[in-house]
Amino acid sequence: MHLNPMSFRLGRTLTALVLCVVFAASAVAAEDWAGTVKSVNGTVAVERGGKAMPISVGDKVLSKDKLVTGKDSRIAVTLRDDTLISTGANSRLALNEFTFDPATQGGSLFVSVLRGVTAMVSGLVAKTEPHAMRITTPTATIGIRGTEFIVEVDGE
Amino acid sequence: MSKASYGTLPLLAVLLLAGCAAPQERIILLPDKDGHVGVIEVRTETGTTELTEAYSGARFKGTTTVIEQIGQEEVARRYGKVLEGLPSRPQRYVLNFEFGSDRLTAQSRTIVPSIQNDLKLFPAPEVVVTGHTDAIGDSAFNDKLSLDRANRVRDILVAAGIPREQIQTVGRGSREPLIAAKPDVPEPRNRRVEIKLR
Repeated sequence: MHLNPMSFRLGRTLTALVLCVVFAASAVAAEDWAGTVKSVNGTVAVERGGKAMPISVGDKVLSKDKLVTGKDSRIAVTLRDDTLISTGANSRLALNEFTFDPATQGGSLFVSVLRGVTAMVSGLVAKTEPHAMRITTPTATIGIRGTEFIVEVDGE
Repeated sequence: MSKASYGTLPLLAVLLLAGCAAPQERIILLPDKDGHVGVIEVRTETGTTELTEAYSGARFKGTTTVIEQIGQEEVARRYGKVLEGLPSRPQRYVLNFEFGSDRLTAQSRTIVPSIQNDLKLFPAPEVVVTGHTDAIGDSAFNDKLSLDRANRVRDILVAAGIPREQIQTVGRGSREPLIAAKPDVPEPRNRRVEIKLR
């Protein structure tokens, strides 16, 4: 069989194009962000991949992010499963793990309150699977079954 | 006697001995907005405790765990700011379709303008549009059908002026019926789309 080099090249280009579109689509479809910043007061930073950077209303929060607030500062975040988070002044909160499948509403949420005060209203992850939401402090592990609560850890 | 107050007396003694020094770590259980109270299980090296009463708390200092009733006023005084800082609760709407069509019922069409208004109350607003089906058909079919319904409603919201990038669509298939129905029994009320603002 004789292959026309022109059509061969066109075929390759098309394949590359299709692959590009597929990858772009999957990058958008996989919602890998954990939550959205709803309010910021004062000095607040996010630590991501070992680097501290500023964060403001509308920014996305990712799994493994740490939120750090200064004096008279606070930040509020709504996660994709409707978990509500408010972190007060002089605080450090680590979002160690967040996964959520909106179709099944299953997932996992693991948060560490390292310093300061955080109030939370649990969301769909805690509702769907009783042991899927876990909070730790330097001393305790806290299991949450569908509720609102405050965790406070005094600073050094 | 509830679990939270079990063993309160000896712990009260510890509390009195410890005085009123600031707690090193503290967990407080709050009632939900609707008054329902959940359960918090607190595990430390020395044991496990459950909090089941509103405004009850667990404090840890070293290896000592103290269970105490903190009271609504003390919570408001000490934690008022951080509680006020919580993001707004999500707001929900249900839209129904005319039977066998992708046209919203007249009543559902009137909801769209109020959604637009309410959305202004949320900073960095997000709209989650979730489609549902009844239990006719297999799950793959229903997952797709429910996503098609959600996408249809997204298009209506976009046409009404809500920015497309604020909207996420979800197909939840027949996993969450509004009305309990036997498999393979049609239930039009379960064919719906829920809109959540947050």
